[in-house]
Amino acid sequence: MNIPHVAQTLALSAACLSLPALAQAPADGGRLLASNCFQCHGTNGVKGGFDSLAGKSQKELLDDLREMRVKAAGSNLMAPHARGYTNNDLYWIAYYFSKLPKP
Amino acid sequence: MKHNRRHFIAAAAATTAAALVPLRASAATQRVVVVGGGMAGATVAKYLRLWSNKTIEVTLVEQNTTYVSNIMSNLVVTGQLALSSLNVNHSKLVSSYGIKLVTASVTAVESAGAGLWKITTRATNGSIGTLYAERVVLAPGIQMDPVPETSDPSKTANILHAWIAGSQTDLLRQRLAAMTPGGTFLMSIPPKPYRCPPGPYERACVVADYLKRNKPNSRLVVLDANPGISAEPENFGYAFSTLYADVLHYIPNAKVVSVDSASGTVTADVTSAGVTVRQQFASNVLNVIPPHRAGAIVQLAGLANATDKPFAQVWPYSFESVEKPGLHIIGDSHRTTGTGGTGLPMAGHVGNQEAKICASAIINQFAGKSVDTAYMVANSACYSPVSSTQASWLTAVYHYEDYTDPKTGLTTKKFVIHDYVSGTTGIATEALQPSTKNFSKMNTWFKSLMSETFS
Repeated sequence: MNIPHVAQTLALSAACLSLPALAQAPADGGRLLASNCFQCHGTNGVKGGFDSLAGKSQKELLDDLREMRVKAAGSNLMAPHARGYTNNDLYWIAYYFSKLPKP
Repeated sequence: MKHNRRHFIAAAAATTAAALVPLRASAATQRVVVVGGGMAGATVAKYLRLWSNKTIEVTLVEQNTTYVSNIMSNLVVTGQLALSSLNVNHSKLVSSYGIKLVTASVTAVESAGAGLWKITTRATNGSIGTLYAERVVLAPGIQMDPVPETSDPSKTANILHAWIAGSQTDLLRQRLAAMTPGGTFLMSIPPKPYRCPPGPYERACVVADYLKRNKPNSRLVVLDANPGISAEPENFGYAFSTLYADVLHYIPNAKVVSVDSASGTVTADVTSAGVTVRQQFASNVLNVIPPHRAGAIVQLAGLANATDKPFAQVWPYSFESVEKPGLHIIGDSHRTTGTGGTGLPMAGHVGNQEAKICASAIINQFAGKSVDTAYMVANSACYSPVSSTQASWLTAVYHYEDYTDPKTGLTTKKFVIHDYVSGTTGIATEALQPSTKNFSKMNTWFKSLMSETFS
């Protein structure tokens, strides 16, 4: 991965999405972090029981996650689940899935 | 001619002798043996192959040809699901990822020199095998502590736990179905930590529901060694005190002492308002879930040997044994709570995530890299039926971080639950209430989890 280019792209994305300043990227590009989603959304975000995540834009995924975080906690499992990750975690989870090939 | 043949035979013998010497790890030789093909073992085997681009050689040793899911098995107890619907095998893991599968039990895991392990296997027909690996992952699940027989505590009572899914699950189903209406189904819950925190309460709910619909005037007595409902207290509390109040009698702080196998009478120490009384409880169908310890191979490998420490201690960010580097323990066999506990509960969905953390750590270690403990996150998501039509759920996300034990004041690193919006710490979130929509999602979650683990 070309680190300077990615850092630049991420800085732009951060400004667009009004996220807090990003911490350093995970060493594995977010793979282990994002694998928390595989049990329900499938290995690499495809063919799981729930929504496919692979190849969706980072912005779309982050918008969905942020929307879920503010829902009432007891209504849908994803609401408290999304609240269990930091904003920075969600940034890199969304980043990882956005780089995966669409089903 | 004779000379050439002798020369050929000598050369062949020399080659065979050379092949028997275990190969040391080189850049090309990275072998892992996984012991146990359940939720954690199957997942670690898969991800070691997937995430290493199939460069790590993985051998999975599992004594059964079929794995029976514990998740959803409470619905087999009530006859709602067939036991066979919970069967999976490892054929897809073999065909998709090139995992080597050995159907055998493991009788020894020993050091064979620096950075090398010798694993001894015994097949069903008795034949002994030997495997060598640079790293070993133990995922054998749990063993039950023996329950003393009331008339002779040195003997083990014959009880049905049905807490390792399989024939016992079906036997419990048969006994429940055959129970005369008006009878008592008695179940006991062990003290934490035990496999699947909501599981026993889930079983109590679906059995209570079954009794209401099929066995009029019957009772369900729940003896809980814990001081109260230890998972989803709101949902199960509501079910116990409202939905099933007329059928279910819940007794907390009740520790099983012994069982009279012939009559099904349980002797238990019940503590109430600081006073402990030894009582007897009769039953027509008895389901004792005893306290657990790590699967036998963990003890055979020289770990988890102290009676007061029945689970192996591991580094939470890699699940490597703190006592024996090179051995990893994942799933229900490692310490979860208390001193040296990971902070992660015993659960199938969690075991799957632990396996990925372990696989990632091993891949880093083979590459000579240290494990990245930033972004060290695990999660749990678990749906529980509370009747034949409705389910609730719980979920938690865990971050590996400093944790100060309020009792001892000691700070260690373990997995801690956070809700980063509300600011609460240390508690899983449960569904607002059970629903039929949750029941439907439960089926989806289960199929998805099993598919992710076994294919």
